[in-house]
Amino acid sequence: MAKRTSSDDTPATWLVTLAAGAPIDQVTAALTAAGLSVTSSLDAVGVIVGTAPKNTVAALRKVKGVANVSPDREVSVGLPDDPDTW
Amino acid sequence: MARRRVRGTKGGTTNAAPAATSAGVEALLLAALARGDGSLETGRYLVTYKDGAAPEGVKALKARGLRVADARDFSESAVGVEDVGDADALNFPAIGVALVGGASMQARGLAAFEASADSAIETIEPEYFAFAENSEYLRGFMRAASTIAADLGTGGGAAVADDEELEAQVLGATWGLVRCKVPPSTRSGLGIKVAVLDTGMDLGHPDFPGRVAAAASFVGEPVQDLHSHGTHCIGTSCGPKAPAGSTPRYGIAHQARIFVGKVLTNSGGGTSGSVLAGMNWAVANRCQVISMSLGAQTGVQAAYTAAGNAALANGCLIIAAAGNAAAATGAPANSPSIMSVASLDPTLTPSSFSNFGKVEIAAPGRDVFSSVPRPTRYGFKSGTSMATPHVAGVAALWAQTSASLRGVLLWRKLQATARPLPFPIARVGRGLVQAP
Repeated sequence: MAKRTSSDDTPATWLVTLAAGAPIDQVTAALTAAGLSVTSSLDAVGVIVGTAPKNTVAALRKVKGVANVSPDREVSVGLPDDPDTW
Repeated sequence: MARRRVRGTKGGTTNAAPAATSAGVEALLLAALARGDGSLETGRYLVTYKDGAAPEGVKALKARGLRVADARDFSESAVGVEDVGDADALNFPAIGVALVGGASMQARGLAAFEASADSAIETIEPEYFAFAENSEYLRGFMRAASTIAADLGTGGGAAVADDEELEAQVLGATWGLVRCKVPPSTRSGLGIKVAVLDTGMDLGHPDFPGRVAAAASFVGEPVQDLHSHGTHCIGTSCGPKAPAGSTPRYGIAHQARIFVGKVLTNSGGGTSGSVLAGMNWAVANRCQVISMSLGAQTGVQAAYTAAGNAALANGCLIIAAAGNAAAATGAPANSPSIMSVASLDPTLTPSSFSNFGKVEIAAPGRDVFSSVPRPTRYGFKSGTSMATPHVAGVAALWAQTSASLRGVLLWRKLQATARPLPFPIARVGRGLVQAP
């Protein structure tokens, strides 16, 4: 059993990808029950964005209809007016 | 750390943004653009004291009830106007000038000071925005000029410069459009919806009247682009057929309907979550072409792959930039359901910065001339970010040719019609994108 650290309790943003054809309303409800605070349900692309402590992710991954749970990541195209970009 | 001490009378009114002394440049620029009078005034005022009368000048401001913050109160006098809180004025004793918020100016009747003969104040003038546009523009222009010159020479390797292309260049289109065979194409993208997910757009740019079909922000900022990256990408994919004056043609799908999705802030950053929210919006609106000049140097992200599949299933094609790290293609372009674009130099050789590995197609990405926000209006940028809207614009032209060219069929058509290049597929995919 891994040693529990304080960062496990810190809320982080997660991207939950649905399995093909999974009903997003039902999965959203199940994820909420499993501890995800849902920010948005993106029904046209089958992704749910939400926040939860890291130590709840294992439970989120077990929700029926969930294909993947990954941390949200930074995206950047460089600073304003920089002639070199992404 | 800077100390902050606001001297003067207490209990004055707090000025509302955007004309407050402490307003950020972005807020001031948005307010100026909203005014729409073309002026470059910030809405604040610069009060200049008479020679040697700085102490009397400050007294005069305070006598009028202004709360004055002094640059000397900050370490090394390094004070940003955002640091002065609710002060009405920021005094710069070393240069004998004070910066006063527009609302304070009106409320306290400061204009009257200027007229009085015994006043310590010499002038009160509007403050203007300062831009560093010329340095970037000239640098890009010099680079473009030198690459064109090199291109015209004997050339080496795979450099191709046939007479037809050079003639078109002279007739006024960017090197990228010429290489993609855009000027001779009769297609315009009419009836096609092109979504560009980026830093937004200068919605008042004179080259795009009536062109924006929808605009949405997913980052908590107005769609108005204060960065320049988004306006540049929209210019290449959807700019006008004939810009005013001597400006060369730089846009491809000049009659496509533009969907502006702001998924990156004005500082050029965002998260996969905000990007996915924009993708969701573009797919829900059934944009046949979705252009994404953004990414991160990570492995495949499952959510992007799912979004790409959802797009294809709904007749939408997501086109993304491979990235500029001279390394493996980043996300989202590395997802198998998303079309990855590499960058080419004017010599049609892969750009040194262009990522490689998963690459479907290549397009011009070095020294690309396109639109940027007012007041600069035009500028050069380089990157797979610039190559991507070339593919998106050409995709809109192909989509116009047949209602069956959607999703994966549009993807295949772009690849099948690309001009092969003598480089590995991992560098240039199936080659240089070509207009119908």
